[in-house]
Amino acid sequence: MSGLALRGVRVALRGRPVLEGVDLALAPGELLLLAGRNGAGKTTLLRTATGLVTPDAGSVEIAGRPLASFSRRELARQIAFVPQETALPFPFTAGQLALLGRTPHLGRLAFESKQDVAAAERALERLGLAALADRSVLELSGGERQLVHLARALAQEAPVLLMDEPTAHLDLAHRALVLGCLRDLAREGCAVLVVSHDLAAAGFANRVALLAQGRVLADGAPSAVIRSDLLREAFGVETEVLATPAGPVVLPVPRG
Amino acid sequence: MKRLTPARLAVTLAALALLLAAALALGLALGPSGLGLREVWDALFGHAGGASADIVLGVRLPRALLAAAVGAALAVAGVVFQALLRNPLADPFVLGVSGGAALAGIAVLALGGTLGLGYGAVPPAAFLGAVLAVLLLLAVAGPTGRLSSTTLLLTGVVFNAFASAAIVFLASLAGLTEGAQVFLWLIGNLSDARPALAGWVALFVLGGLGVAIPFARALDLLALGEESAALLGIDAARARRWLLLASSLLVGAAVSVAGLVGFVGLVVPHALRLAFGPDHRLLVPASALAGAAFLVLCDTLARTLLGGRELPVGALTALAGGPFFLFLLRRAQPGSPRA
Repeated sequence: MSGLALRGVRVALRGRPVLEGVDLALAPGELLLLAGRNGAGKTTLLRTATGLVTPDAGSVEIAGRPLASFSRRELARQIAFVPQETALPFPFTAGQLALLGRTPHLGRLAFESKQDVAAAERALERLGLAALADRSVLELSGGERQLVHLARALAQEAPVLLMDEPTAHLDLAHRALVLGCLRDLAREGCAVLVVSHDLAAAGFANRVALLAQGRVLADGAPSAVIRSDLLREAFGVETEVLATPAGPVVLPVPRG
Repeated sequence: MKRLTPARLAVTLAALALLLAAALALGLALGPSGLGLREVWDALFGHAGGASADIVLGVRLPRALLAAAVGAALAVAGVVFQALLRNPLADPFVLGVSGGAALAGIAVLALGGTLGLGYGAVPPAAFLGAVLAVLLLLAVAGPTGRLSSTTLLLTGVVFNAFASAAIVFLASLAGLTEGAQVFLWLIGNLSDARPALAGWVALFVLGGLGVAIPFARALDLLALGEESAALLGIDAARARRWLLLASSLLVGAAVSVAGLVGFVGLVVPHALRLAFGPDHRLLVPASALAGAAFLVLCDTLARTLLGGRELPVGALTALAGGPFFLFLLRRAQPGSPRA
């Protein structure tokens, strides 16, 4: 199977168990929202899926091959990852940063080809950044900078996309833009995994998984997973879930 | 979308090469006995003998080449440190790497005699001193590899204070009668420009550049962080090791002949980044050319500013670089977008 598959993944960081027997598969065409408490292991799961963390047990497969069998460059052509925060010390322009996403497609000293430039321009265009292409990212707002890092990942044109809180610093309009863009990418055949605390993103996803205490608590269609009982188990809070045409809406219920 | 094309790279480097040629011409022409450019040309290309040829070929050319090699080395080392530590304030002198190299060099000068080591052991010792200082810095930076400005400055201050103290201690211990020589090392100067020396240093510098230039694109990615670089297909650990080797070679070579010339690695890359952007495929070779031109000009100024007497060139670069550093630091304060 292409896409991404984690099987029985167990990870301990500094002796503390973080993931315990995680099974999670992501097929091309799917947009999966992964949610859970702070510290539930979401980021560790993403880092394990990219090879930054090696699991103590279990396996990770990309495009049907074990992760370890890929060279770094091959892997970078298969999987793109946007971490929560990337500090940049130098005034790269948005365009230059998007072009860095083309690295796995270039030779060591080679300059970007027309195709590479076109891919970077497409990525900027999709996220509404075309007008900012020649601006230094250090002069952009936090939200705009986050979009530029997403554009870098899109320019990578990998079939598997992993995003850690891609909408954290974004206003309502940009949240809709990013989530819509990720849904389109999934429809075009990408396998997209989004970690987010923004449960409204479920309206854009075709699957939702809840992670609690290092295990997958629930995994299925948004309406099957975004339920008061499961949310209580995952987050330890009472919620009211409203079904709307745009997807489930979650309201926390005040105590007492 | 603006980007670096091979044509833009070639044109920019050609322009900087012209700048370097102009600086060299000035360095060869100016001095206690001023020469016309015509005389310099004749001396260089063999149409004239006599006094002016002796001055140009015997005195000023080795010195100008030495200045060029040291300037190129320090500027490129600055660019590499800035990307590796992900902080534009990094510089071999500010970080204390030059201090480490100088300490090792002085140790050989002071104690080497008893071990049968001569002056020839100074450059390798300076190289080892630079390597050790960089390793110590990376240990302080920790697993993320990112050094905050505060940590960077504190570490550099402590390194430099320690190195200076140890240098003075060693010099006193060995009774180095040429106290002035130690002073010149600490302040940085190019007065010991023997032709053979200039040749050796140039070789070291070319070696360091030869290692650094193929990793220029890796520097762009390392500026995003080691993990992001790895996820874009770069072997970040390997790139770091080679770049560390290259920058230590460059600093070791520069310090072993010129002592602690400060701030070149800070001023030159920063000015180039302002002019041409941060793409390291351009920044690395451009820093070599512009760093060379900058130090040739500074040294020419140091030789001629006070008439007959010579200023150590390190005093000049520090006088210019100190305030510049404070300006950069001010801009890098938290709260500004460059923090």
